[in-house]
Amino acid sequence: MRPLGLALIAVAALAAATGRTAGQVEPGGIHGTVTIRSPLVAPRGSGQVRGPVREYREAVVFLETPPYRLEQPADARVAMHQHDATFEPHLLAVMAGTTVAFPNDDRTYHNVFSLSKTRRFDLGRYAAGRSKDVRFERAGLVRVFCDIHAHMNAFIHVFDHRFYSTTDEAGRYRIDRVPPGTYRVTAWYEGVSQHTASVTVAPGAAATLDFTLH
Amino acid sequence: MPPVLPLAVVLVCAAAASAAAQGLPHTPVTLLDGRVELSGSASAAVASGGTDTAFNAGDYDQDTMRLAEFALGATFTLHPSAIVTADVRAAGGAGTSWYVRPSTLLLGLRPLAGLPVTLSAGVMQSPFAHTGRQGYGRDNLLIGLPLVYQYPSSLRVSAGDGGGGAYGGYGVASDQGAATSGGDGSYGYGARGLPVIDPRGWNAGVRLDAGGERAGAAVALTRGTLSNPFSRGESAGWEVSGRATSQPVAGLVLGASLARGQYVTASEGREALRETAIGADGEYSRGYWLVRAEVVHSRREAPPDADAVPGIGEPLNVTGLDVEGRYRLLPGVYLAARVGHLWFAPVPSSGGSAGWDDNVGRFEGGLGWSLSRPILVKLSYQHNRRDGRAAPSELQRAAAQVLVWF
Repeated sequence: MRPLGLALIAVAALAAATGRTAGQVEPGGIHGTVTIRSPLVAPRGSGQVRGPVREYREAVVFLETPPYRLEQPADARVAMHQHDATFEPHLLAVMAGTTVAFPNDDRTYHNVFSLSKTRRFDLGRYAAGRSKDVRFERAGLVRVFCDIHAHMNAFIHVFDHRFYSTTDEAGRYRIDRVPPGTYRVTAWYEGVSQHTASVTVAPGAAATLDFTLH
Repeated sequence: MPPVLPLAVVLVCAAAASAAAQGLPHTPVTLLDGRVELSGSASAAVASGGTDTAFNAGDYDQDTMRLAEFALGATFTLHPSAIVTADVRAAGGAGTSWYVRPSTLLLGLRPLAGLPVTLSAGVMQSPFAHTGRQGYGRDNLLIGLPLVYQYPSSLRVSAGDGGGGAYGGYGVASDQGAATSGGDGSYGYGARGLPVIDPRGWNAGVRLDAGGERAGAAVALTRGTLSNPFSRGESAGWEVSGRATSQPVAGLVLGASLARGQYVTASEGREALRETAIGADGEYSRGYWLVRAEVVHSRREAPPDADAVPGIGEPLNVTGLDVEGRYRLLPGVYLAARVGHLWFAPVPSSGGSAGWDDNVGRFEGGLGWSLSRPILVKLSYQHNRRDGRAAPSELQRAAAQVLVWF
């Protein structure tokens, strides 16, 4: 019976490692590329002569109809830096319950605030080397600004599920561990362009879905 | 008009603007791959009390507490080291004339790569002083401006034809009536009394900026002066002005300004008149607090043949002090207050000595409420005071302003 016992233990361990038990369907995934045809250019906010322009190329892709939502807050922690009078990253996607730190990496004051319905806050003015936190409890879109530097802006998408992804420098995204099924998927860009499409995820397979925006 | 009515008008406008806010840009707009950047603002203000262009003087005969203003700014990046900056403004209101004119049109060059030195030429504002330069848009905490930038003294360059062009001479009015009407019945921009600093007019010349946020300096050589900008008429002469700034610690900015030039040029039958001004300003901010203070002293030569001047030929000195503060109460809501005073120095007169104008003071307090990022509503109460005279009711004013900006 010893070999049988070992086999049962091995199966149980494998099931635990993959998050599945006997009878569950293997999840798939969604990946693809978001192409931004006419990327917006970041404003520089003053008449001073400066260096090259910076384009906004980040997009977020998420399931409009997630298979399930969070049962409890994520309690995660990420950062959005203030560096060279810009927010880095310009676009954040987090789960509800996440705390976002706003460290000031510049030598001047910044004053991070948002008047979005999802989360209103004003961190006041604080100097280089300091950081302040904001916890995002509700799902929705938050526009972030600096009260001192009018050109500084950023977006924080707060989701009540984990089925989202931000694009990398090449525009690629990847949403893993999606239960099989048909979903409506949205690609969002800067609040000026978005597109929704349907995709079917097969067990254990990765569906490809590309977007072209703006 | 009952004060409730204009307030209701502003709130209705604010509600309508708020509803449309989703379609408004939230940051400066970029075009042509970032080579063009646009920013702008639109505002409308209403106030109780009678029309008051003495304490709240705008261009021409406008009352800035009852004014609609539009501003559009643009920068054109011609080359990584060459940029054109343009700023056009329009203002007007019920019962007053409208105007549209540039306040800035500059070609800026950064000739030395890697060095923060910019040489500009064109239509510009003087670098002298700080607080009132933020009079447009969201940076003005309240609706009025500091007195130094707004109060038209009894010193004026009279316009014989009532316009801003041909000047028949100059003179010093003996009464504040000059603020709204010239002694010859003229009525216009060029006929008003001169403030210490006119932030709305423009000068023409060259400007050199150097340094950055830690320490910097700007020097300008312009046709047109602090109190009598070139846009006001052709009587303005050349002036050198400058400002140096330092940020010894984060949140504290200190500035010092100096200007000297001819606010009236010499011509047949009149001598050139010079003005000298020095100023110091400071701003400290931390957390939800912001405090600014600015002091300006101006010394202007008086016209020797002015009929109504006590102490003919004596320089006319005036010192202005303004202190303002802001506290952010809630996200999008702040309280603000400003106190200011102008002291007009005594000059010899037949009765001994007397100030060449009556000292004036102002308190303005109010709140700002951002309905959304680009929409700001301001409510304020302004109390003005002039020494030696009973304060008419229109010097105590309640006002509201809605401002849309990007």
